[in-house]
Amino acid sequence: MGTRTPAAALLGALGLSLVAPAAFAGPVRMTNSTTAQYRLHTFTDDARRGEEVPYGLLLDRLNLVAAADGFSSAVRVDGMLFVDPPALAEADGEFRDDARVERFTAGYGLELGGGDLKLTVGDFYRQLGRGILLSLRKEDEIGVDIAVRGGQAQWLGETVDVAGFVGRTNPVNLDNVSEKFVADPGDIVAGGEVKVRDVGPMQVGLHTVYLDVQTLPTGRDGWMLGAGGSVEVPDLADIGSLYLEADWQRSSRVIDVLGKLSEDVTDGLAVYGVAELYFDPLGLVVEGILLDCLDAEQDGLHRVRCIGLDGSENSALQSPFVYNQPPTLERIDQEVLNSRDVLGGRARIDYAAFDGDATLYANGMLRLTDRESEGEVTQLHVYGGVDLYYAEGSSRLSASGGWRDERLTGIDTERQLKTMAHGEGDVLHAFDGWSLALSTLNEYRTLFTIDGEKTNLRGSTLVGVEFGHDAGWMRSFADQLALTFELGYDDDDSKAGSRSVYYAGIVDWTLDSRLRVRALAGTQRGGLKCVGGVCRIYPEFAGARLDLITTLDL
Amino acid sequence: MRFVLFPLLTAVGLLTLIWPAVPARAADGAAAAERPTVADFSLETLDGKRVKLSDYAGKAVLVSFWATWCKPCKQELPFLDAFAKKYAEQGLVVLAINTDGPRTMSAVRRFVKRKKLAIPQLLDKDGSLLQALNPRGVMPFTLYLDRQHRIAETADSFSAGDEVKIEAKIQTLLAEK
Repeated sequence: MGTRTPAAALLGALGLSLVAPAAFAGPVRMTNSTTAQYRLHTFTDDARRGEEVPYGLLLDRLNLVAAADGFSSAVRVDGMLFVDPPALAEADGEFRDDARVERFTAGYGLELGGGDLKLTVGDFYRQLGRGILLSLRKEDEIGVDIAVRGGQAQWLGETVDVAGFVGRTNPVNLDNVSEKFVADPGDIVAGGEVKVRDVGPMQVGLHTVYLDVQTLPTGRDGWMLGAGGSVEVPDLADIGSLYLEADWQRSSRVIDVLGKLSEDVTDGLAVYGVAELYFDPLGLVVEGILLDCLDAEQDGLHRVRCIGLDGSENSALQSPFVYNQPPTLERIDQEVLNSRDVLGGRARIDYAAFDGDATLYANGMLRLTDRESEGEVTQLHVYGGVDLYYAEGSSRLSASGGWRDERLTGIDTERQLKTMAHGEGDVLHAFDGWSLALSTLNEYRTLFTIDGEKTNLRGSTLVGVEFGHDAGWMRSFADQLALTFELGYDDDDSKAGSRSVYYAGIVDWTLDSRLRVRALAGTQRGGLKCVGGVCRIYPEFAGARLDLITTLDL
Repeated sequence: MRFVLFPLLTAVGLLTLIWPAVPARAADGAAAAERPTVADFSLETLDGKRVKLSDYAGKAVLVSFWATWCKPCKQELPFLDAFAKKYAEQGLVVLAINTDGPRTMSAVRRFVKRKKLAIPQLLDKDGSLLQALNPRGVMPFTLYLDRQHRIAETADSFSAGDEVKIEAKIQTLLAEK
């Protein structure tokens, strides 16, 4: 992008925000988030490991949404400006000033043939079934938001839905986690879905997708064609529900074998099911998944993805884009070993008391990845806990803990890789006009390597107070105010120069429904954080950050 | 480029400070006409039906986004369910929009069942409605729609005691003609 282009795009967006009300002949809702940061970048490469360099960052996200007479329209403009950013090694990505129209969508809906026809042009999200073949969902809190930029037609009827779509994958270019620039891959995706409801007690769905990857990390191209179907019984004889899905795919990659290019075609199969049963006060959930390569001639470590296809390379993460998101059977905040070749199951039983205000639960999972190869890993995880709502629902308490064991169980090999004990707690206790919040999560890991055992304790604890505007003294200046202290710890000393203890203070101040201010100062532990069922490794944070979030009707 | 971009971004940031200083619009007829309209949407429910916003023509609607990993959301929903029952005859409808992805989808029905929630649970599986109505993607997030399905107010958090504020907003919304 030329040097003038970001400024022009931002100017255009600001201009649009002024003319939009007239263009749509109705009010436009504007939501704007401005984030200013002064922070330290910690180098992790061998040459400068542990060295910290300060830099500044201003990030703005402007969203405009309007609708009238069956038309709807939305525009999102992102801008990012760095002040004295550190120069990174090429392999570490790039801090880059940028501003662009990140999302635009125009939609039109009308009643047709007893249903609703909806046409969409621009950016949209798409998931098929439970995301085994394709899952492009809105996930921008964690920076891996990928949409399709193209066109989609949907006909949504009382008992039948039909949809078709085509476009290019369009990730958010300003990754708000790594703060690095993400180049557009331009991978082509096309597909369709048919769903029929009221087939007796069932819903039956069929879907298909074609994905054409422009540049695989190997420098070669690839494609994937997949199809699948699902059967769902939402109400199984008044005692539960059932969901079953099966998918097949054929994928192709051009690979370099001893200097000769050859096409590597892989067939994959996926089967997923979940059943829920309720016999008050007991409840049972049983879930199972198989992601399998049908081709028996896979390489020794099954490094080929059998279901889903690695997309072009994400320039910020130096790893491929992932366009599918199968169920994992794992806890939401659990690192998932891989979703390439998987066989696993889990069961959860819970007991409800006090009219559902208290729930005791226990969960067990067994999962194998890269089966029948040298790299096969068996993962066993058991955990349990309690969720409690009290004081007429105004207070809550939850506590959980568990144990995990991972073993290499590949061909001719068996040895322990990792054990982990974990404990979590979350309390929000309401007093008159204010409440006390405590949240903690801790992991004690033991890693087994050929050099011996290594242990690691890591976690975060947050303590805070929240005031509602019925606290008389703050009626005049705030709707809500929260003050939080965060303590993080990680005694993993493999990263020379890194911190082992982290402190941060956080203020979250809601003036009214139009303005929210959030400020953070200190240091925050990096590591795996999960939002919305998707996890990423966050870098450590050291510095100060201010977020201003405004919502206005223009 | 920075010399151009920096003032622009700063201006946007300052706008966020200046605009809220403008007095909030009163909820009278004229101000209500200036509210943005929500485009009709259609989603499948947890029990396999299809529900459209326009099915509730003439009713005030609370659209509340939630997910099973959001603890404040799970604390708020029983209150919304109770308000839906309490104010149903006065024309209130609450639509819960679940945004769980494939990894946590299997936890949705269990929570709804355990808490005996009766409000319709609409599934926004890929986040399309989230993008349209809650582009920041924060949760919980509730839109208060008037009887013409225009946005009267929004709220993007839930803390202890907020149920009092929610009920007051509902009463104000229902009092509008």
